Amino acid sequence: MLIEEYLLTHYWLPMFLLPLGIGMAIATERGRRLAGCGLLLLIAIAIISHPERLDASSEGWSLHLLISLIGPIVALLFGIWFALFSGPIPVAPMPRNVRPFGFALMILSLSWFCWMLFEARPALDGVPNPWWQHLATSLLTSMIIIAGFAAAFVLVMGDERKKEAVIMSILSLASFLLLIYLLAEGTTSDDPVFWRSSSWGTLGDLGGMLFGGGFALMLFVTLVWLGEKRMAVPSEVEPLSIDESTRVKEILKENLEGGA
Amino acid sequence: MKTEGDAMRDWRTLSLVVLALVILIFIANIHLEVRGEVENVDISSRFIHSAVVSFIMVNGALFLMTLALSHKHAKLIEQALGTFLAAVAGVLLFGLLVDSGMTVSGVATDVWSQFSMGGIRIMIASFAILLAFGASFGLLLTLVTGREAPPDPLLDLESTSFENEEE
Repeated sequence: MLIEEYLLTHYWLPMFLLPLGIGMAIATERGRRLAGCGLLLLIAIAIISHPERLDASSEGWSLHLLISLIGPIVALLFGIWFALFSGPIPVAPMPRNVRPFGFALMILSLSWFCWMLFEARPALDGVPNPWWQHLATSLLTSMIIIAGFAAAFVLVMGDERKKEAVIMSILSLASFLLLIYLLAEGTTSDDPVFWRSSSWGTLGDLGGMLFGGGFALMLFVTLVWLGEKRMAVPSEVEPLSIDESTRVKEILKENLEGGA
Repeated sequence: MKTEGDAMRDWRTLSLVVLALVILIFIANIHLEVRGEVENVDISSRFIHSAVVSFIMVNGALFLMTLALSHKHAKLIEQALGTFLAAVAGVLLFGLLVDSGMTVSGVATDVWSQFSMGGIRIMIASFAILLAFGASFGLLLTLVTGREAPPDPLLDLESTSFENEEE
């Protein structure tokens, strides 16, 4: 099957160039950084100006999924920002009474996601988004593992962090129970059979990503190591000339006298 | 103070926790699959496709990042050429797999359809991982930094009055 031209220019090419744009945007040279920001802007424009309806292709549906999740994600990010910087920290503190508002935004984000999960699956003109179940099962599976890891991490590495460990454990356990509920009972819009199939597929995908991505990273480390190994031994440094050693002595003397 | 042995033990404990959680998720899925019907997913094909597509994508991204961040001391021959060739090898392997009949169900059997579906699936799963990571560690950071500690007496001292504050 031939790829549609608009998908190439408005989806795959921008996605392909994204690492280049990010890499240039974080470079140290100012010129390269500016070029990187320009490239990222062009990538954003290319994706936003998607010429066809989003339900016309699988790629379009993936963009629709991203747009559908903007609300809960923004609420979560602002919630974390407000709660974090209104706490007892010396860096850029906000007023202390903003902290409950931050936590309220986090709860709003969670409720919004649950509402989408059970009552309002993302859809376009009544057609449900085909990627929703894949995202939901991937998110819940990742959340179980990452929150569980975080709970164990604060307990093992931290000092008197039982409260934090308990909260992270609750998050991990709640994600697990939610996933089990979806697999056993489903939602109003989807039968549990589809959730089970999606969860199995997600496990295969996540396992494959871990294996393939991990292998690629190990290969990269090996390539860097090979590059370093092939480096020539640096030539010996010439001893200081008489003028240079005189100058060094002067500086040392000056500083030692000043400090005494 | 923790020694090197303690750090090893701690990381081993954390790895075991992650492994236990992964096994728990698998057991839950198997148990529920036994209880009720499930569509034919072919998890092994999904795993292999996912592994090869991830390998291609990570190598491609590393190749572009290497080019973007190249400097005069960079080992471009090894890093850029190596990652590029690895990505090309991944593409060839993927084409071979699809041509030999190892395809994911529910998608047209040509190479591009199989690759693009795998790519979108991986991008969505990566996005979900990023979201889970941000939510978990964002909340954890908020909780950890929220603990009230007794004020540090050193903060009350002024740099010009050290001698006066000494007891």
